[in-house]
Amino acid sequence: MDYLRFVARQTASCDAFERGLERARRNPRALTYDELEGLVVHYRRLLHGQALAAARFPGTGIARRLSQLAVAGTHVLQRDALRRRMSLRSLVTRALPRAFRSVLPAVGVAAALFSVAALAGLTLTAVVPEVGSLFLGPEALAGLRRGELWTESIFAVTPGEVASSHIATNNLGVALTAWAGGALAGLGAIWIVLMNGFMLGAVLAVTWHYGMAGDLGAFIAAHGPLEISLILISAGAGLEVGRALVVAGDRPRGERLRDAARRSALVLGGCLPWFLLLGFIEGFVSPAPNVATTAKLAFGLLLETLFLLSVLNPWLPPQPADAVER
Amino acid sequence: MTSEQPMANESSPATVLGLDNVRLQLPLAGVGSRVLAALIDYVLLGLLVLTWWLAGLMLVGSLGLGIGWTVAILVLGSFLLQWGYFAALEILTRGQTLGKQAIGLRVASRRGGQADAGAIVIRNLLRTVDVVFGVPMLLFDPQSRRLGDLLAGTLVVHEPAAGEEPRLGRLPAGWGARQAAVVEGFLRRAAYLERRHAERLARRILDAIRRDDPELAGGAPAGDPVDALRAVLQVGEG
Repeated sequence: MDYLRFVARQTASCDAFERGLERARRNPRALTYDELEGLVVHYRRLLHGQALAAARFPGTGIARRLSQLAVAGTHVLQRDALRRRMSLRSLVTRALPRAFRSVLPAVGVAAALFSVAALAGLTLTAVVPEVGSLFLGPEALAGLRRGELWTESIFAVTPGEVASSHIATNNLGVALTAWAGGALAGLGAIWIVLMNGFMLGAVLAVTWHYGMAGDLGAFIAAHGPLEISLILISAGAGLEVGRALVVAGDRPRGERLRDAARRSALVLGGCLPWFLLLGFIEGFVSPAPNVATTAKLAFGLLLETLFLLSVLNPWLPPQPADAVER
Repeated sequence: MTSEQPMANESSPATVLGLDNVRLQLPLAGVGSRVLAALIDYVLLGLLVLTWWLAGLMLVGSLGLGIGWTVAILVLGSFLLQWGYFAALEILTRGQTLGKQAIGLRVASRRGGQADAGAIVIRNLLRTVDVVFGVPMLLFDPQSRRLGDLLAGTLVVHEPAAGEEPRLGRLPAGWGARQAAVVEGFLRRAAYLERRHAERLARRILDAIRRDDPELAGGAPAGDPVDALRAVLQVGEG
């Protein structure tokens, strides 16, 4: 084919497509159906033109222009798949519980690892109490010797709202890192679960050693159950991603990874608001001396139940095996 | 418009299958431009967080919230900025943070289309891990993807340049696409070349035209050889 004739034929199409694309970029909703159809027809012609130019006239100006317009057009016009638009209600009551149920086995693994690490921390610190100082530091230990929990001195000088915001952002950071760490074949998530479990066991043993375990229990009664659940679920969601990376099964690994990432990110997203609430409770309710321990514990268990009901939604029927949630 | 075709060739870095299974080369961004864009973004993010704190502390009295609540809002706000800056900008601008905009990059789906909000959130939640593992992955992955891109199914591509391409109105007898590519390449760069080099190259091309098609070269105006070349080949822009 004659180069100049090809250029002349393609230039008109390029110009028309460029104008339509600019309008689509500025306000896609302003395009009429006919205009959109025309744009797609030009796009199809352009794609064929750029393929022909790349094969027959490589390196020429028209090949460059066609390629640039094809890339720009693809970005504006193409979607990987039509994802069903979902209302917030459907997202919370259907998609989130289904995603949560799908990562439950991984959450179970995270819980088992956490328990083993907590037991190890408890046992090791009971035998060698110095291990506790690695996590608590000398000042907290000195306080324990005086019969004071380290939390008392912290909340004595830090206003509840400041403590709440720090606790919430710290917990959110841990959860997000645990999830992201799961992408490293699960290793990051496992590390965070083991560290947190070991730390809890060690701290329990140290406070037990100084006869302050009851005070610690009173402090964590309101927020502890939910905090541990949230960390384990975030890490479990991360483990699900790690599992997809290591064990792809009968699906392409990339596809399996993307699916696991979407489901687990939804689970993580479902946990995030609870972290904010948790920060508030840990900053205001947990250190409150005028609230009885039993009340704190009842509140903590109620909160945990509400959380589990919301993310599991027991009223939602199980998804048919052949259904694909997009 | 939707497309569910698989990648044309996983080992060919930039090739995807477009509509009608037509191959399309995506201009993938390499490690250099991506690191540069990220550096710009992190500097801007740092400034943003700093501004947020300074503004908050200056307004502490006028807001009437008290120092405790002000600090709490500042802490939560800076956390949101740190975790949300990249994702929010990429969602709002169809794949561009300010750093990417400055360098001319854009996040795209793995088929070159627009990445959806879910994919953008996922790729940005993995930044904590990619701060350490991202650069080696960008270096070794054939499609220059970091971990976040792998999980989200995204690519980072160069934004197509908006510059005009010289369009030849005629060619000397016997000249084909190869010679046209050389002339167009020269004309595209002529404005950026040193004047004497541009003139020397234009003269050489005019000599070649005189040799192959004396009749066509006969109409060359006197004066600037680059302008003469444009006139001889009836160069337009488009």
